[in-house]
Amino acid sequence: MPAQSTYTPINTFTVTGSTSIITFASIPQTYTDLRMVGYIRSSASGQSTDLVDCYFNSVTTGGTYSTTMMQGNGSAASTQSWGNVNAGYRWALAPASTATANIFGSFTADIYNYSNTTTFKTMSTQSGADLNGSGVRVNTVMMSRSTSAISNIQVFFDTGALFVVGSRITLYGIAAA
Amino acid sequence: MANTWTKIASTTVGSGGIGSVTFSSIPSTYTDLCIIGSARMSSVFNNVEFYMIINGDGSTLYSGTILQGFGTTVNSPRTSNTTYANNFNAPAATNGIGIFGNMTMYMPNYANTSTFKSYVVDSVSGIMTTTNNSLLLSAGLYRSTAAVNSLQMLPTGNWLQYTSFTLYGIKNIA
Repeated sequence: MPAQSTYTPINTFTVTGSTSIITFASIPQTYTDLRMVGYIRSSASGQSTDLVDCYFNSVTTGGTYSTTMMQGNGSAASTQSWGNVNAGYRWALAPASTATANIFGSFTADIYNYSNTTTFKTMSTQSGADLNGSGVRVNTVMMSRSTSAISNIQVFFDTGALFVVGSRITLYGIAAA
Repeated sequence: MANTWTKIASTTVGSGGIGSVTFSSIPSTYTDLCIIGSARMSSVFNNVEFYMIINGDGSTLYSGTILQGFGTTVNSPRTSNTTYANNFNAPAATNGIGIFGNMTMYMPNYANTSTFKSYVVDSVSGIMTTTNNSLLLSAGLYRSTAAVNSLQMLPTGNWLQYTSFTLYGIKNIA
């Protein structure tokens, strides 16, 4: 929501070199919600799009993540889900190497009540990459079955590919009061 | 406190209706743009498309990938090489008095002059029937490296009274 004095940029990562993981560390616990906004492209070879994953608090084991994805690829709508996996899977999408140059994908990702230590953490996202004749629009809900407050978010591509120079992700904190 | 969401301009349509809403001379000083709208059109059809033209450019540089739920049907149409972005829909005059659709359009990195412009749209149109409520989610592309300085919202027919659009600029630095 457009709240002029409650929407604060915490950090922006703009890719200028070789980067496969974008990390937001030491996230303050002083906000109510978090929002990530991205403008990204993957270097993954031989494919037109790449999916985006994440870790919360560097948790990479235990199968505590799950994702449900709804997508449209320009010809059909579909839904998929992944449960008990070791990363926040496939909650956004970006153009990759075979896509026309200069095309970047967009996403927003919202994590409500990220600093509470009582309940699991849920992230809802909207994302898309249209490539003029192909491309995908994706919405997801991703859950981390951890009650820990989120203080660290790592974003990376499903393929492990690099972010293309010019990619950018900003993390905002949103305060309810 | 940070002031990262700033209202650039807002338009509410008056009693006579209007043929388009244009945000011009958009400053390049923000990081991202967002339009939030509440819209209703004079078309005689249900849940019709409306359109966006960027920088007054009517050339075939627009495309979109849509994920749409329409009543009990879900589908994914696509547009390519169109002369406008048609990633939006809203109720029409035939859908009952007082019914407006909601839409948001988020466009990151709109002021850069190196890459094409992409954006995501969420557009909903609930018209109180079981078959014609629409949820339209889309990814749009404008294949121009020009910085975005103008956004024009065009209805099917006219925008009806009380339709409103607000353009926000978002900064990623406090």
